[in-house]
Amino acid sequence: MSKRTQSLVLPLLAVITGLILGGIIMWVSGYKPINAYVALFQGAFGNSVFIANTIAGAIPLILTSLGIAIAFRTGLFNIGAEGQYWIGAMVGTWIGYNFPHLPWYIHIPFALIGAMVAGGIWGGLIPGLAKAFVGAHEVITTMMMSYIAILIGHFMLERGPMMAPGYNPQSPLVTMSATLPTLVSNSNLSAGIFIAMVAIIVVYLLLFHTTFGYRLRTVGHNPMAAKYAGMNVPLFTIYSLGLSGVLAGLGGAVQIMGVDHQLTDTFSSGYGYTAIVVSLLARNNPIAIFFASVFFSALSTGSQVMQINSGVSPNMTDVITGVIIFFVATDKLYSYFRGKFRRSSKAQSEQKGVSVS
Amino acid sequence: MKKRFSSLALSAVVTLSALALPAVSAAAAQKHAAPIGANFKVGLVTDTGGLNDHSFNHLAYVGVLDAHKKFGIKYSVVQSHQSSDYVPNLTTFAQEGYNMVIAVGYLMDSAVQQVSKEYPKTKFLIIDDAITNRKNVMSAIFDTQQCGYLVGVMAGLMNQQKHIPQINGKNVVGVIGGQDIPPVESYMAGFEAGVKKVDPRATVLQAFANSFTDPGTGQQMALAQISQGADIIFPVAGGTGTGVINAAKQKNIFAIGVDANQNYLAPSTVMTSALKGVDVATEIAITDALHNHFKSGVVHFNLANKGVGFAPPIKAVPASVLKKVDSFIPLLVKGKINPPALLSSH
Amino acid sequence: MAILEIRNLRKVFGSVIANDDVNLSLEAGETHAILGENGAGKSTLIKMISGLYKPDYGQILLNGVEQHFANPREAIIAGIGVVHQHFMLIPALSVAENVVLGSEGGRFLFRKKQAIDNVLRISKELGLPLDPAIKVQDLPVGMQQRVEIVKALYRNARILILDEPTAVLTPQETEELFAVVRRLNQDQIPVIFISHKLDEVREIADRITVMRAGKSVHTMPIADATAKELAQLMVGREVVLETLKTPAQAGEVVLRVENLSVRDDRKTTRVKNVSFEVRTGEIFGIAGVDGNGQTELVEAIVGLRKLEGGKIHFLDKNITSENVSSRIQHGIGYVPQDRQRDGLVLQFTVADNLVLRSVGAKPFSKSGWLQKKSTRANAEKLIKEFDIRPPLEDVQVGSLSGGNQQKVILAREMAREPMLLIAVQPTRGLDVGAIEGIHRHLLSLCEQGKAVLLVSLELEEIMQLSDRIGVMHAGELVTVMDAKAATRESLGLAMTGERVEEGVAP
Repeated sequence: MSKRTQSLVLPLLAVITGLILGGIIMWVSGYKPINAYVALFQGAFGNSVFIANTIAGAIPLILTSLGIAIAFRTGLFNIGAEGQYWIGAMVGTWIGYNFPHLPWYIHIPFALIGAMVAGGIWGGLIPGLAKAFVGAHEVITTMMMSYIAILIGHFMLERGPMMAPGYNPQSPLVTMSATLPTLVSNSNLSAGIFIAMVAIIVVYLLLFHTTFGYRLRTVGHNPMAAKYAGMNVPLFTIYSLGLSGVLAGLGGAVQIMGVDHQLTDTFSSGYGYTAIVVSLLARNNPIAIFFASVFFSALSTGSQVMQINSGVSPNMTDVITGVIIFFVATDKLYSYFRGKFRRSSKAQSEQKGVSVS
Repeated sequence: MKKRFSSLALSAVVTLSALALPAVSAAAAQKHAAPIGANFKVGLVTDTGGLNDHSFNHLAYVGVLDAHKKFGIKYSVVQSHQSSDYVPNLTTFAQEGYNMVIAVGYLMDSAVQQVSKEYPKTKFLIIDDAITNRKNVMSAIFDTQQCGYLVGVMAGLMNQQKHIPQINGKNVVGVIGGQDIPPVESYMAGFEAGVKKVDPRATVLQAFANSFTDPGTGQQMALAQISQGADIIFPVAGGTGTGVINAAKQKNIFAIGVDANQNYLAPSTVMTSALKGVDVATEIAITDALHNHFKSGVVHFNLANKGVGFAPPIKAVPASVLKKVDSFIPLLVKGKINPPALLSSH
Repeated sequence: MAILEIRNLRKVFGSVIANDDVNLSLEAGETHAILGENGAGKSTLIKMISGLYKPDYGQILLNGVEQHFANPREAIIAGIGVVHQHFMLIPALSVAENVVLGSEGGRFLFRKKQAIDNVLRISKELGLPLDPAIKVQDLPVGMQQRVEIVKALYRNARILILDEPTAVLTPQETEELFAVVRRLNQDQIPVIFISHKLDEVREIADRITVMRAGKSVHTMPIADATAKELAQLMVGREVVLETLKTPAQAGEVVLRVENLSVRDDRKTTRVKNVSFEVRTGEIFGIAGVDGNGQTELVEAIVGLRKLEGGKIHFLDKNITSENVSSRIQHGIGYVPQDRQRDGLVLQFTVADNLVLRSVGAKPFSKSGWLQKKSTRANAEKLIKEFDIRPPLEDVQVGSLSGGNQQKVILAREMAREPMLLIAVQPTRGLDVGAIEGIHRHLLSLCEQGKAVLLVSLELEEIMQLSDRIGVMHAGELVTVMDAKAATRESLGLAMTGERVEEGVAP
């Protein structure tokens, strides 16, 4: 199998195995797996509103995953995208409700750019500088910065400066001038999808058609060779984490301005973490990230409609989606098992040779 | 393993809370015995806490199940993963022609506002929120300061008992909130007022865990309060509270459950629970809608309509204490005592 | 009866036939050399014998019994010891720990004393002194190789396979290795000696099997073989063994190094007060035993390492404080010692690697955008010019053989037409054909009036190519002599630290 077909076939196999195993679990628990999966599919793609919601759910995943992919391509692990997403959402919300007199064509870019800058500083500049100059590992710094961001978000809402007057821990609604228009009525799908598509194209071009992307990838694959080629490795570390944060921050703002319209405690279900899985599944390829994001979003929206229409209990649907995600996320297992099966004919002689070490 | 544990715990809650408030359910059952709900469909949308929250999502589900048993209504449940799911989930139910859609939790306020406007024929119930400008929305508000007050009175009285091994005589009680938000605060404010009413010199320690899902932090905070002398702790913190109850069990002091009867978590040290009858409210709302008596606007659930209360205390609580606590019920019902719904610190 | 017999072995990867109809027999107590160019299938053969690959067809017999190794562990148990070209040692562990690693006997506790004793015993038997307590990372390459040999013998190897063992050794270390091989032969342990160096093979081997294009083409006693014949068998055509070097017309100074001192990563001064000049049209060779400061010296000149003191002038310009990329732009080409670690991005294509050091410049990019057409055209031209195989610009460099990887680096550096090319061990691990090509390219640079700074551990190479030779020892440039006056003996003496008058052979 060539490398290219392998990178297509393995994730597909993983999805199918997840579906089969999930089906077995449902069957054992007394549900009808076929009906449930039909409901799942219908829930994700059954009518224009469901399709729109599925695509809408993919938008924040696309943007955040693109950011994580850039970091991965540079050999860095941005585990704190969730916090950058929060910071972007927070800044986007704040700009979104604080300048009601701006025309939309200034207000929207203002909020988006503000969120991108904030995300970039949060995810990139601070951990990037820490890594470049004192060697602090980005897994630790981005994660810690992420916690800080999420807790600041809670502080802002729970009787904090961003809490709307009244009863609930939520921010005021962003004004119309900072709202991305909804494309399909009764759905969550906003013009944010165009931003996501543009981001995919920009990241793709940046990574594969610019000298900047070439250098990022060189640093990622072989920092020694990058040094040898005269590249400033610490600088590219900062650029990479910074861009990563910019995209996650953009994701947060687009979600607020297109869907939520206000910041609440439960505004994210951990997109920043799901996005890591999305990037891995997509092998950090910007185009593949689109499809992987739609897949994950479809599981989420589909499973909710599945609960409504198939009678499968909500807990069970979460288990099923969990099983599918597990298999998708661990498709490396397949390569491992393939190696095992090839050798299994000689299992007996292998036993002889095993010593504890 | 964890899943399994929580589903065990879930069934325990189902049984226990069904036992806890039998009066209302039984009365309702006698009134409407016929299976008249066969064409009535109820959709339940949980907030991001999900069905296993040991709290209002779960209790709303219990209420729906009760209505199903009594009237044969059809129902369906969907768990929301993040706040952006609220609108689609509510919309899906409305589109599918459900007669009544239940939104659990104040977090769905704006979603219900939006969807109820687009589907004026669908009835909506929102728990813990006050929407007043829609004819098709009923908002259930729970005066939990009342039940908080009653368990506070009980704690204040217990704290002055002499021959109970769990009571240390230091006259300190504690309360731990999940987050500093109104539905939590009303419990806490009522509790503090109740303690002070019967024991003016008592110290009430106060803390927030800033999470509803972190038993570890709950346990830490409880141990901190215990080291400051607390011998009764009231967690108002969802899943975080289970850590508090564990710490109390470990150190052999009393804890007070919240929302549902949580005695099953530590039978000898959870001395009572402050009850919030989300199940009762849900069932009443469904019953009313089914019989064309749907009430829009805010409906208060309190001691008077048995929407709040407290669970039967354990044996360690002397009959004299219980009698004294009970004596406050008529005063609260008649409005002679009005416990605060906000903490004095705010 | 042969100890090891290989019959009609065949291994195919996809569309590539790596081994086809390979035959070999190994007698007790002999040293059997396998000679072949890179890509001739030597490594594949070794991997099948050592259990890493399974043959598609054919037999492996040990003492007449057919073997089917499922994994390397089974091969080890059967008595096959392999010392790979890239050592399989853990640098942070001690010699003793490395030796017993993987065969500690299943006990939870590591028996340190016993391990040390065993290592001492084996190394003494072999006449290979080794300190069992020292960490492997602190050992020179030659000593690390000893650890590998001791490790194989500790596991009761009955056959020892040495894969390109001399590629990393100094002449002295090579002699020591040969002594060990002879001693093993005396103990009736046969040795398979993989190499592409004709001289060595003729010195150490009893019999020789030549491989070409995946097949074993000929086996003969060493006495019957002439160098010319062997080279012809290997390459499949006639080979010019001696490089025909025309004396240089040394011109103006290209590189001037003054009183250079450099520290390594552990802050030890590794280059002490070194001064020299390199002129246009000449090859300046630096000889020396590995680890005497050559690496640090070169890294300092190309800008990868900070100076402790001294100055570097390039074309009359002080470049002491300039960074790597501006030195690249000034025209310093650099072929690094470790091509996989420093010189290439293995996951990139050949075309992308060919622009690694010039990607920001025209015509490979325009205002920040990669110009893939130019990159591709550049690749096609260089692949042809330098005979890079396979001749495909869009394959990953990592899938190329070592020789072709080296060609990619050399092509890249030479294509930039540098005024100075610094080449460190440019022919390390390469076969006769490839070495010949690379030497030709270096000489052609001189003919074009460019300068070459050649650092090599191979005395032959230095002597063949250089116009002047500097010898480094313990961080100092102990002598600089005219290549015509240099002999193996004089250089060898200087490499041990004896100071020699410049230009005078003792």
